[in-house]
Amino acid sequence: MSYLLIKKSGLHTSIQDEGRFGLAFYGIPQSGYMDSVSAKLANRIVGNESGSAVIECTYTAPSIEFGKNFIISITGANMGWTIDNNPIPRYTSLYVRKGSVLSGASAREGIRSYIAVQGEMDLEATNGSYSYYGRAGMGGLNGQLLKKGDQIPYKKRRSKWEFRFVAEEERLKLSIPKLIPIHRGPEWHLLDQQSKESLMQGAWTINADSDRMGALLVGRSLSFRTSANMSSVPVFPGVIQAPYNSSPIVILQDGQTTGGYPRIACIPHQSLGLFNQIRPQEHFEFFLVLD
Amino acid sequence: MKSIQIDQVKFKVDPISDRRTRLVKQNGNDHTSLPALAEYILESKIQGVIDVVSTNVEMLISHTDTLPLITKRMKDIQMPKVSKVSHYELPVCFSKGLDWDIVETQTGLKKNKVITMFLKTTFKLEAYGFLPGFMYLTGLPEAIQCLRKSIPRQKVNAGTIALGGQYAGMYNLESPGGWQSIGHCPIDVFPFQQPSGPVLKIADTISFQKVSLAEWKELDRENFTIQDYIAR
Repeated sequence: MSYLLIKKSGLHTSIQDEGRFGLAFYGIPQSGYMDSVSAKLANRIVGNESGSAVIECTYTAPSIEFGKNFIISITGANMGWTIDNNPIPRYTSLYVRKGSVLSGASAREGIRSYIAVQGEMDLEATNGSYSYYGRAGMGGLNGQLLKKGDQIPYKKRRSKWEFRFVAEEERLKLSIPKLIPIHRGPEWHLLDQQSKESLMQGAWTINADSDRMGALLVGRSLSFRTSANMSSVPVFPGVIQAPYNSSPIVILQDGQTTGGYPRIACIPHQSLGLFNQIRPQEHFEFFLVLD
Repeated sequence: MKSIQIDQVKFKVDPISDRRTRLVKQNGNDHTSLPALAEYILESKIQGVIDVVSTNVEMLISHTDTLPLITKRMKDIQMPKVSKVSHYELPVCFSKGLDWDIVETQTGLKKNKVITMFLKTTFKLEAYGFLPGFMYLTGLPEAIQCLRKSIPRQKVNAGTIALGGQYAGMYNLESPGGWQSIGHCPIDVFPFQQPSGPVLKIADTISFQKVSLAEWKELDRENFTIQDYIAR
């Protein structure tokens, strides 16, 4: 049969595509791949369209049985992937036989891994997207995370084998200390001089309570030149908000669409994937890109 | 910084990130509602515009084409002079309110008096936002306005009707709640799964009809939407 069977769920495994557009006005977030660089590479390797739905694995790998012969690829974090207990490489096309089982362990570098399967999932999109957004029960498989016993159906199509491979230079470098570029945000000027400098000087970490909605930054508290109350303003994935006397928060893919705190800076779209691969307790630094 | 005029509203144009541009409302044109203009831009389906978010002071346009192309296409937008406004009557069960003690203390009014004033009010949908489908309603009489909670309640049900500052609001998803809960609306006002989008448009008016606990139970069925309620 043309499906994938989930034998073990992993920690937080979901279906994601490019995201849901045109609904942020109603407070519905974009969602979609947390690391779009790795997800798109996975699609490219199997010959899918760039924005196709993939399986996003977080921290711990799921275990998946293939209902027929499929062509797949795995990118992003190294979760020690195996097929029928034989180690397999990432960033290359793989031909998997019916009945074989893909498994893995905990992520070693990075935290998110992507599984692309050649073809198209045979699911119903919610508001134009397959992306799982738990809060409103949208997308995914029946609006839920993938769990043991789930079957992901695929549209019947003949597999087309082609050996494809992504060179080291094109992959995100997850093993080395991360430097995250930021732009100044609309309320950058509200930070005092010392805080502007302290944002870029020294390491930050991400609080373990962070999720697809937002990342809580741990490091230093920032102070402002004024504590004037702000009107509510639009925000989007990548915006760094700094509540007064509290830790900065990076709005992520499932995050709110408006907020009332100063938007001090912004991680550019193409760098958000790297940011979203940072592990809890891992040290990273910001550097300022002048526009 | 560049500026642009859309339907007589002057904006400062600020490309905040790749593919995202802020339009910041300039002073001197307070008559146009930004969320209403944003909704119109969204519904006009301008080529290359993929998302629009708006508050009272600022709009955010997400786009796939270059900014000069987008601003060129947006310049010609003109909202219809007389826009169609619909009125909706929504059921509310006040015995489902969780914060009546706080509301009575803060307003200095008895629950019944607050309810009477609330039911007499014609509200206007000013904006959606913050959380999926959350509705900001204006028109709340000053006498029954309440402060937001300093620590949000961990969980309020979808359908909760609450007071927060100058607004009345309605939660369309179960979520943490920072507003004072006064009741519950048992029908699904924003059925997320429906491709046609929300029934209530910006500037539509809403009044509430009091229902008893028994009537509330009758209406509180799964997937009972606002369309079903209107058609019943």
